[in-house]
Amino acid sequence: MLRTERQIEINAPIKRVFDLFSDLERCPQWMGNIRSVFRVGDNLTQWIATTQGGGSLNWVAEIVDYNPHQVIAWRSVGGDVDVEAQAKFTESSQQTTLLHVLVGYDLRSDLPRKRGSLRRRLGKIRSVS
Amino acid sequence: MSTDLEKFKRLVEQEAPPANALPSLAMNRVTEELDPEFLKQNSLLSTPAPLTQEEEEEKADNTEPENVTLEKSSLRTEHDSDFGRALEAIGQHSDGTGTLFHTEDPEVASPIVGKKEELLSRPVVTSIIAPVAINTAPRVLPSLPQDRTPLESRKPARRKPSRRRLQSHKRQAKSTSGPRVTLYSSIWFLAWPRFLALSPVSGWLPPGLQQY
Repeated sequence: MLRTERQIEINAPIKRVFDLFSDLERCPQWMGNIRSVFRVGDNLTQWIATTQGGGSLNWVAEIVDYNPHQVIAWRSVGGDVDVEAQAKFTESSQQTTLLHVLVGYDLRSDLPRKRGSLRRRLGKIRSVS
Repeated sequence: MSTDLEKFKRLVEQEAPPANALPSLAMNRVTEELDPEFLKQNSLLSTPAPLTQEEEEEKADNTEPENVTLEKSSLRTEHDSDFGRALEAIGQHSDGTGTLFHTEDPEVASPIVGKKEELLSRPVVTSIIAPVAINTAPRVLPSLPQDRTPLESRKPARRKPSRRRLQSHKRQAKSTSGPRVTLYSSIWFLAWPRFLALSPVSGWLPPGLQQY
């Protein structure tokens, strides 16, 4: 699984930062590849992402850790991608908020086959044209 | 992911003002978050806290009219007291035209007349006693046109006829004059012997032509 870790300081109260970040249905507003997020249960959300080739990936994530104004974490429980994400919130002395995000993702084993078939189709189209 | 987080940061800071950027808003937030009990104890809320029995007894002891008067006067400055006396005198002796200082009553006039100059020098008092003259004449802005004739009756400026219009006029004149000249000439051509026969010089005509 490929993991990425980033930290950023936001000039806003920790409550507002946490409220906006934990509203996962608003993630498409600031996450580039995420097309939509729907709440499908108490702790379940369905995610749809757009790939660079124009395709789409779907997965369902479950919130596994939720501590208001401190931490939120979720993990995929099914779909095209294995995802793990954790966000920690810390208030600084200057009333700003430190946001520490850790994201790991991995494509499922059956996806390369789909990609291979797509490549074969593209190759056929190119050879015809 | 860093670009996504930067976007998230912008979104948060757009939706909420920075916590340390606007002190007035921060103060409001502090006021909202203060304990109501604390505000009541410090008389910052409009509804006073209920008094205890000891406080009520103390209040009953201190409700003599002299004390009340002293408290009011202690709250006012000298300027306020003068102004207040002037206003009271207006209410008692003025007839509504600002003749406060022309009253003949020495009891009223003496304490105020002595301070007339001082009171008049203050902008607040002068604005009450001496009414400001208001110019009721209609203002005419210099940029507006002085012509008051209605717009419908104004004749539009005569325009110089264009060359095309002149040429069309000439063409029309030619077309009307041509046939008329031809008609006159043909009539004259056919009837000229009869005109000659009626004329006094008809005897001079040759015999072949006199039969007309």
